Amino acid sequence: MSARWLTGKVAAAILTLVFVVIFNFFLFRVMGDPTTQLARLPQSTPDEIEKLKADYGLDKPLLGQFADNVGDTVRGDLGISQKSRQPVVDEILDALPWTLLLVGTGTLIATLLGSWMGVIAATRRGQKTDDAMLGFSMFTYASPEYWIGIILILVFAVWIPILPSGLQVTPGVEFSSWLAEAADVAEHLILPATAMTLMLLGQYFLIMRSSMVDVLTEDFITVKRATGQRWDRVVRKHAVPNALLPLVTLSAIQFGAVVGGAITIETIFSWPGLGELTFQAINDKDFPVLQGTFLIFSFGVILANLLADILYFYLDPRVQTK
Amino acid sequence: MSLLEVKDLTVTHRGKPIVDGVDFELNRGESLALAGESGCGKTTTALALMKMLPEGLKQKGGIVLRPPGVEDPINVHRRTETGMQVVRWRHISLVFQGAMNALDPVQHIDDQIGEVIRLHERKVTGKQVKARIDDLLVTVGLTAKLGKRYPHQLSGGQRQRVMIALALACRPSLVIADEPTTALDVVMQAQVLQLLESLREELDLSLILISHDLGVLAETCDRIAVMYAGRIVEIGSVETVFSNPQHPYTKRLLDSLPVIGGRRGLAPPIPGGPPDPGDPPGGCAFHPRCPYSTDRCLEDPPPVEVGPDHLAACHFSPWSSWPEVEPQKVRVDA
Repeated sequence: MSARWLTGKVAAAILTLVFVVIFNFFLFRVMGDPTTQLARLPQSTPDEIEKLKADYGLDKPLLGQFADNVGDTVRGDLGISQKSRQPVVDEILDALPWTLLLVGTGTLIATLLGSWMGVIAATRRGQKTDDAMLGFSMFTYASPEYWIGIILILVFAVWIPILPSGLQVTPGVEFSSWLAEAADVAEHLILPATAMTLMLLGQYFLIMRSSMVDVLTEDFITVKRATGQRWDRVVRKHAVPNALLPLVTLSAIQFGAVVGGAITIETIFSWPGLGELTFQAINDKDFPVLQGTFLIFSFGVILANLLADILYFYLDPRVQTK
Repeated sequence: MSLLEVKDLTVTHRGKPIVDGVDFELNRGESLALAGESGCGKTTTALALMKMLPEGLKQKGGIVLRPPGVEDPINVHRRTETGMQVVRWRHISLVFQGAMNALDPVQHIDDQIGEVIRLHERKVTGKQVKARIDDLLVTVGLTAKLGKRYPHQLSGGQRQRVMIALALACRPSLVIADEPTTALDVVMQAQVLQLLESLREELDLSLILISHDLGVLAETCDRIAVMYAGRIVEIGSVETVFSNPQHPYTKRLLDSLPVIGGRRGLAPPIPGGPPDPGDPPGGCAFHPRCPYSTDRCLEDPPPVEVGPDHLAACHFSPWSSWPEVEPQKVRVDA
């Protein structure tokens, strides 16, 4: 990998991040004086308000506040949650693993399943299998994920009560081993991860299918077949690696976007991830937490884009000489 | 004994013929040109020889291959898909048109060549494969270190040379080159043609060269088959056909070639356009565009032997001379 190329990509990512920090700070200042949010009790005295301002550094000029904010952010201090009085960083770090578990599982399954289905459908273009897969993926793609979530709860937790309807782990249970706990978490993961998979699957399938259909008409596919290779080998060894390129980029980028996009699914399944944290913070008007989660979401998207670029670099030799 | 014998090869699409009763033979070490306009069935014929027609096209007719060193003739027309997999590339290989997309973009050159060698020769060692790849690349005028590159890192001419190296990888007895020089500039064209020509002599290859470029074919081939609307309308040695064409279509095609040093200006075009593949006019398919056509041309013309190893499918062959054609006589309603 050329060092210059990588430096350029990283520099662009850092620049975007700087912009996000600036925008994120002023976005929350546009919403008005934070003390009016803090001092919601009508009987707050001017003294109390002054004290609040001093505590939060809001008596300084705006640019001074911004400098403080940037300094704190760089040091990893995202402020204190107004509701729980815990550092925002701690709240985010508590929620992040759960989101990564859910989004990671959903993205992984959707990518594998979507690309597999895409290959099957493209090689049987116009046949019944293709039609069925197209219909199914169009349906899941068009359905809102919260609706899918509710249906899943209704079917698998209410009508046929075999799976828990929410939370990440059965409350109040002492687990005998970490394995038992992991099994319990896995059981809780099934429904939200299924909803997440169905949310992503349609798009991945459609991308893979059309990418495969394109690649299969390329001349080199005819040449590979003319060399005497079996058709399934041509598909596996030559068509799929070429068709996979757009999908890999898409799922890497999506992974970043979905960290924030899991809000509805996490809320419906009471999954204690970043999405639910954000949802609660919106309800509570907990600005420091919101500012923190926004920063993490942006960071996720930027990092995922960077990783997609690097991944593409290894997968497509044509990128390397540019 | 001929290397390849094609008898009454017909390719149909929903019952309509795209290639209609093509017969020819090809001797060992000989090169045959397939000439004709776009859509006349040249590429379809080539793909049918390897039984590689796209879905929806059906082929009939005999294709027999007698590669040197193989005792029993290979009846291509009777082989199944699996049976063809051992024939493809081992005995017949293909230099594809458009060198740009004929190689896998995400595979190293040497891997693409090594892959086919390993596919057809199970007992070959890694060292031998490596030596063969280097040797092939040198044979086609490239350096062995190019093997470590990807197709996009090569020029168009280099890619076409790689394609030729790939076609020779399993030492086939027949190479079909479908428009091998179309995407190249004139200098590259000449080099690639010279390469094909010298390799043919060196390796005792038979070559079927498909092109619409008569100049290219005249320089490279021993014999030429002119195709029109899925049929061979004239076949013979290049010298004979070029100096003494015996089918009006060949005649008009040759007349349309510019002569260097000749009168400047555009050659008289053949009026009308090529017929719809699969729905050609009845009788001689060329008759609506032919200045000499009469009612007799509504009947199928049989191939007439007009000279030694020279056939033409025209009711009026042999032509002793070509009457001047008045432009008005040309019917453009084809």
